[in-house]
Amino acid sequence: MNPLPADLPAAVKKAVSTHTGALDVPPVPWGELERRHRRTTLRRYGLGVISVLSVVGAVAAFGPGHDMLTKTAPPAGSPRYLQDHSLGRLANDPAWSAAMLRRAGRDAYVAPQRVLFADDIDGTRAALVRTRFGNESMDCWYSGPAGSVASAMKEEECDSPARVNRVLLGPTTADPRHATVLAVAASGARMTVWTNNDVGADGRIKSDVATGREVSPGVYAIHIAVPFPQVDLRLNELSGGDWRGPAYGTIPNPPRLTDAQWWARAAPGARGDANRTPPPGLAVQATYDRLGLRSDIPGARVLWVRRGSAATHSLLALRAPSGGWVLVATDSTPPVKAADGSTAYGSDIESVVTRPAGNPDQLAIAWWLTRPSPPGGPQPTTELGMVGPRNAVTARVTVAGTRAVTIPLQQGAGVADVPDAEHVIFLGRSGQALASTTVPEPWSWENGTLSHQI
Amino acid sequence: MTGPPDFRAFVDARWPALVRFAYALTADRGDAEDVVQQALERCWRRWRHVRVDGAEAYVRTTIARLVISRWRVRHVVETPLEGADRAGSAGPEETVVLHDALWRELADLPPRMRAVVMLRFVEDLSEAQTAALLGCSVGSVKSQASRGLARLRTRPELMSLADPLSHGGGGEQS
Repeated sequence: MNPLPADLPAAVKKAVSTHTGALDVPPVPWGELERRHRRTTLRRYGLGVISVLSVVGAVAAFGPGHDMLTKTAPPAGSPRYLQDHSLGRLANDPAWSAAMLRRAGRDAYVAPQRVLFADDIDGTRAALVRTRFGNESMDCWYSGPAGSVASAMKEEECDSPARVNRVLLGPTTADPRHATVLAVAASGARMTVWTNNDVGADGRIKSDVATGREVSPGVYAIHIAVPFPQVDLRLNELSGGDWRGPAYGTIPNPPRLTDAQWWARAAPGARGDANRTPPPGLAVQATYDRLGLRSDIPGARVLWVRRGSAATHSLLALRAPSGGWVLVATDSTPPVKAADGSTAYGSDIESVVTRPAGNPDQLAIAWWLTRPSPPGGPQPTTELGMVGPRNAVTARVTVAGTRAVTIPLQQGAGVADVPDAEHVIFLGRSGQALASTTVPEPWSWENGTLSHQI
Repeated sequence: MTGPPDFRAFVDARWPALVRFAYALTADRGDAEDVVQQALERCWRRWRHVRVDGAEAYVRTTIARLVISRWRVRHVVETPLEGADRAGSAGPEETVVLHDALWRELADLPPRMRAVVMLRFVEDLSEAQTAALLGCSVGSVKSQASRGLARLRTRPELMSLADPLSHGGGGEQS
C-alpha cells in the first residue's frame, strides 16, 4: 500500500505556506541588529578594545515566542513565566526593586521596566532587569557583592529577551579565585559548562566540563576557576529544548599575548611568501580566545603565510595543553591606526582542525582561502590552501569524487584554484603518500570553532 | 554593475519574507528570527560587494547555509491551542489536521534534509539551484529530497491521515 498519494510535495508546500503565512512577524529588531553588527565590527577591527573581546564576542540570542503555543503553565524561568512573574528574593522586595530600577535608569540609553530576577547567589548579588531600548526590549544584568545596595550595582551584559538569560560574573573579594556563570531558564533544565578547551596527544578535543545547579526554580549557577579563555554554556530543558552558546561578562582577562611573546614563539621557518610577518600578538590572542584555548602553552608556530593585497592568510599551529595541535587558518587585514591612537586589526578564522602531537612541520591541512560566494554575491573564489609535510612535492586533489588533479608544492605548501575539491594527498619525491586530509565544506559554521566539534 | 541597495531599505522591505523563509527551514520561530539576524549581520559586513539584483539571493543563501550548519537545531513540537485561530488554514478540518501533522513531521527531519525538501518543493527551486544554494552536489540534493519524502511517507501519523491527500492536485517533481 502506498500510504500517501503522489502529490506529497504539493501537500508539503500547502502545509508550510499555511504555517509560515500565519506567522506574526515582529518588526525589524534594528537595535539588536546594530548591536550584533557593532560587536562583530569590534571583534574584527577593534584592537583598541580587544582586551574585552574574549568576553564580548558574538551572541546567538534566541528570540521570544518559543512557548507561545504551549497550553500548560510555564515553568519558572521560562520567557512566558517572566512575562508575569519575577524570580529571587529581592525581585519580590518592592523597595529594593524600585531602587534597582532607579539604578538601571541611570544608564541613559535604556528605560527600565521591571526586575525579572534578583537575589544573592554565593557571595554575589545579581539582578536581571527588563528594559526598553528604543522600540525593543532588552534584558540587562547587574551585579555586586552580596548585600549590595541597588545604587551600587554594576551593569554587566545586556541582551534581547532570550530563552536563556545568562551572564558571567567575575570573582568577588570573598572568592577571588572563581567566576560565576548564572542563567535564568525554564525550571528543571540541566546546565553544563565547558571551559579550557584542549587537544590530547591523540588529536581528540577535550574540555573542562562541569554541571551547574538549580539554586532556585529557574535559576542556575556554577563556579569556575579563573582564569579561563571562554565559557560555553549548554542548557537542556525538560521540554526537549537544547540551547548552547557562550556566556559573557566583564571579568578580568588573563594576561594578554604581546607581539614580542608571540613572535618569539612563532619562530622562523614559516613557509609561503618571503615577507612572512606573523600576525600581531593581540590578533593571535583573540584567536586563542575564540577557540577557548589557553595561550600560555609554548610551541605555537606560524606554518605558512601568504600576503595578498586585501588580506594576509596565515596558518597557525597552536599547541594545546595536552600536546595535541590546533591548526588554525586565518585571514587578516593590515593593521591601521584608529583616530583614538589604538591599532585596529581585523582577523577571521577560516578553518580549524585538530591533529595529534608530533612535529608541526609534518602536519597536513587543506582549506578554502576565501569561502566560495553564494549566488548573487561577489565572484566565487575557490582557492584552496594546502599545507602538508615540508618534504611533500606535489598534492593529489580529488575533485567531486570523480577525478584528481596534481598540484606542485613548494616546501610542502601551495595554493590552487580547485572548485569542488574534496580530499588532498601529499606526495613525496618518489610519489609516496606522506599525509592526507579532507577539505572542509565551504560555508560550514563548524569550521571556525573548536566548541562545535566537541 | 549596479551598486548595492541600501541595506536598511532592503531589510525593512524584506524582513517578514526572510523570517518566513527561515521559519520554513527551522520550524522554530525563535530560531528563525535568530538565524535571519545572524545572516543579515554577516551580509551587512559584506554589503558593498552585493549586486542589487542579487541581494535577496545572497541573504537567503546565507540563511540556508547557516541553518544547515548550525550546531544543533532544536526540534520543537508545537501544540496548537484548542480553538486557536486557524484563519490561514482554508479547507476542511481533515486538511488542517494533515497540514499540522506534516509541519510537525517536517520539523523532525534532519536540518539538511529538511532544507532540501523546503527549497525543492516549497520554494520550487530546481535541483541545480538547490545544490548551488546549499553548497552541495546535485546528487546530494536528489538523494536528500528523495529520502525526505520517503521518510514522510512512512511516518505513522501521516499514514493514518493519508486520505485527504488523495483529493489534492499536483504531482511530484523529479
